[in-house]
Amino acid sequence: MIDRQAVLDAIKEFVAAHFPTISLDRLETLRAGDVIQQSLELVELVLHLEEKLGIEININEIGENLIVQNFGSLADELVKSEVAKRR
Amino acid sequence: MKWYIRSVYTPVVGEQWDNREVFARISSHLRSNASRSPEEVEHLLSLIRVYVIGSRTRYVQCPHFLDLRSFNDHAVAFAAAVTESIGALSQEIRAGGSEPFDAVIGVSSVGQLLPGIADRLATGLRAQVKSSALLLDLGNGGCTASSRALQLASTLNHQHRNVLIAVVEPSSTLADPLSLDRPNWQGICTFGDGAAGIWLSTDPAGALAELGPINSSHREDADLIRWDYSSSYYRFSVSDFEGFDRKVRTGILGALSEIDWADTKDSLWAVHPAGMMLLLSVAKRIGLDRSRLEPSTRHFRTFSNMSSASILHILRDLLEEAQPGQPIRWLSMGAGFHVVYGSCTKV
Repeated sequence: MIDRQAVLDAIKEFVAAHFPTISLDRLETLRAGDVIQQSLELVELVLHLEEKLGIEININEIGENLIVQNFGSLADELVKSEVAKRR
Repeated sequence: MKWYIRSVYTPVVGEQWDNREVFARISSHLRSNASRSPEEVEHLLSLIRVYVIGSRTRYVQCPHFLDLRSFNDHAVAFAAAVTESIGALSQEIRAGGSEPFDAVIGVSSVGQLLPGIADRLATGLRAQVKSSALLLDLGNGGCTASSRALQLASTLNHQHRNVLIAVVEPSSTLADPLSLDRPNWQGICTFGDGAAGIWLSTDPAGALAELGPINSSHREDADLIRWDYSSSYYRFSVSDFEGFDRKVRTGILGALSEIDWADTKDSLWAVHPAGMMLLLSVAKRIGLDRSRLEPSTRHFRTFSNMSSASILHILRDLLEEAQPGQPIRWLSMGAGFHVVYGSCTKV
């Protein structure tokens, strides 16, 4: 089972590596869509999360949350989705 | 009997739109539709924004696809796009010259028309197609349709020495602009329109490559990618929208566990650009690094997913790049759920 902090740590690692100019202090409040501008970056984030968290992410399931929500809400969404899959 | 690739034809048809233009046109269209609740429309537009994020272009043969309302609108748009594609293919085939074709296989996953694609192309190419030639259309093949046609052509007997496969995929003519169905918009945002052709010959003289085995596997999940129906036409749909990525990835890996496929370090690869996510995740799982995927991602950035025309465009790029003796491998996947692995060796 994944937890919220693990998701946020994985996102932080990705943002630090791909967007070094972005401050990580308030990562949870950043909107993913403001950071991710290209489909390749979006896919790389998803693949990074899959690898780090050992989960499979369906883009259609997470849908617009991938870019319209902030990273904190996105982490909540992923945890919720994993819980639902295991029920 | 050995088959050789003599030529690959990749005319560019339609007008080029970038993602920004696609989103602007779709959002303006959906927001101006008074019969939909603004909340519903904005929700859908947020999802569409995910599909068209970043810099990617496509070619559109039916620029008025958001105005298609009736069966007649769709069918006429399809016929017009086929005429444009056949014209562009004929021009390229005539310019390149060829032996007279003994068979012409027309391919489209999108629509129906009579006379068919092969008949129309044979008429356009005149003396380049024998009057006794086998002419047939292959429909309902989804994104693997061109690979299915190659599979079929390579089983023809010695009476057919020169075979032309012509692919026309004007996916924009399928768009259902009045629906808020999410798979419909997933299709609209993913596909670009395209055309391609390939000349196979039993004669090695002047060949670009020697065709290797083409192997396929169909999975049990036949409904995964399918047409749905509106009141006026059919449209792109999927059986499990939320689980689509997972099922496609599972289907491909399951197929590859059955198909006799191979890789070597010097191989060039074409992978059907179903979407950036599928492209990268499948490549990763079969051990292709980013540099070997570059021809496929480059194609997707410029043309988007042109259904079964895409793999031939990528193949042509690879044939130009390959050194004599270098293997080229391709993997296509699509409705069925169907996966095809093919290979050839640059001459």
